[in-house]
Amino acid sequence: MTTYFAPSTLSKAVAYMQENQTTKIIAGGTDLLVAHYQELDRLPGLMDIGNIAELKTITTGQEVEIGALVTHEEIADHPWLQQHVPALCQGAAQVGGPQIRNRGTLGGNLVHASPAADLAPPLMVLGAVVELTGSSQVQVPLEEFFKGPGKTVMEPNQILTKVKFSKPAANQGGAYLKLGKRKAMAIATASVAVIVTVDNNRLADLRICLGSVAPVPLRAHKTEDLLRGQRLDLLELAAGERQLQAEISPIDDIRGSAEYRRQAAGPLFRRALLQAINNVGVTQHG
Amino acid sequence: MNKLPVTLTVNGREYNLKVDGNERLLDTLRQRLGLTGTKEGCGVGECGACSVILDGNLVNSCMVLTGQCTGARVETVEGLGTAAKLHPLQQAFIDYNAVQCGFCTPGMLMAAKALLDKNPHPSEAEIRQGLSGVLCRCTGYKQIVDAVNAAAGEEG
Repeated sequence: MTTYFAPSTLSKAVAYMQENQTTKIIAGGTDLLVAHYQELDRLPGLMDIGNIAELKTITTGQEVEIGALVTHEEIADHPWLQQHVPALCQGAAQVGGPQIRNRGTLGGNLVHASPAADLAPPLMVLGAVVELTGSSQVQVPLEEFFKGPGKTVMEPNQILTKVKFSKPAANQGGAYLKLGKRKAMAIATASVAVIVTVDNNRLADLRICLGSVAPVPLRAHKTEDLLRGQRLDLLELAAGERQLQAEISPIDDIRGSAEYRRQAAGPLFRRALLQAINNVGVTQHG
Repeated sequence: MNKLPVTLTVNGREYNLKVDGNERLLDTLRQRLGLTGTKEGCGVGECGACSVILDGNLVNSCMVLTGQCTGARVETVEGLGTAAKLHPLQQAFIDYNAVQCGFCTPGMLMAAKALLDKNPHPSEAEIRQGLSGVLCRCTGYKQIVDAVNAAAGEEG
């Protein structure tokens, strides 16, 4: 028996979740309806949050806030985001195909907690924080949000309502690259997002996050430590690749072998790093 | 089970329905409204055979619950043209032999329409991207891309 509730405001949605904790939240439905394809007649109770206007907004500026219901297509097509956070738009543009991008949402991409989620690596290197709303409202760094495939820190009565991050500085640049079986409809075999801070021709800082090479989207802290502070013309790229390959823990699955993923992650990272360095300044005007 | 009242417009005609919470738009179209031009391929959002245009956006109708469609405007392949007056995309698909087994054709047509509605003069790369969520099992993509390109030129 599928009960179906479609509140028009966040406060009604939150109140309902406190009382009905087995209810599944549906937004774009592009993961939920796949997971329940074989048992549509036994769908759990649903709360459709698609009518909650306050979750559909994008606020730009020094502090950026993206509502959980913003779709991949809206992120990919957003001129300000394209200019200031191209890596995020690159991630959004590579989710599924047009049909999935028109329905699938930012919040859904994160709460589904796939290690291959295309928005997780770019948001993680941006230092994003997710806002969870339940009996109270809490902010959780995205880096602490994922606990395993399909698992997050969220409580059953919480709704992911927003993602927040600061606008990158003028001396920062980012990139996201994804390796899949084909260009459309592919779940990442490996993916990597990089954001760099360049100062005085040096890599003053960098953040690296990989998808599909560990149980959760993975920050490559040791590789960051190795390359941090290096001169741009003397970057130890080969050593960086080796460190990165040592730092990840990929598995064999239908999309690729662990060995393939380890091999591919190195050059994929190198390309993303060089693209991110190239993007410094280019994307920050205005 | 609580039935949900849903009012939606399909190909310009308004319907007042009472649906189950788990009913997919695909099933509503095919089983309630008899609009069987929209096909079910994979049922899990991979193949695009069930593509329709929902409020101007291309979606997989297997990935949408009808309960989510209150007030929505849906376009299916049946709304494109008539036997007497085909839509330019339909005519182009005939002219360019862009149909083999035909199962993906409704999805391809709706993907192409959604693209041209937003971008009347797409490049070939944009056409390929616009169609990328629909699989053709016969692999006749070249003719399909050529047909969409020709239809775009005609509408110009």
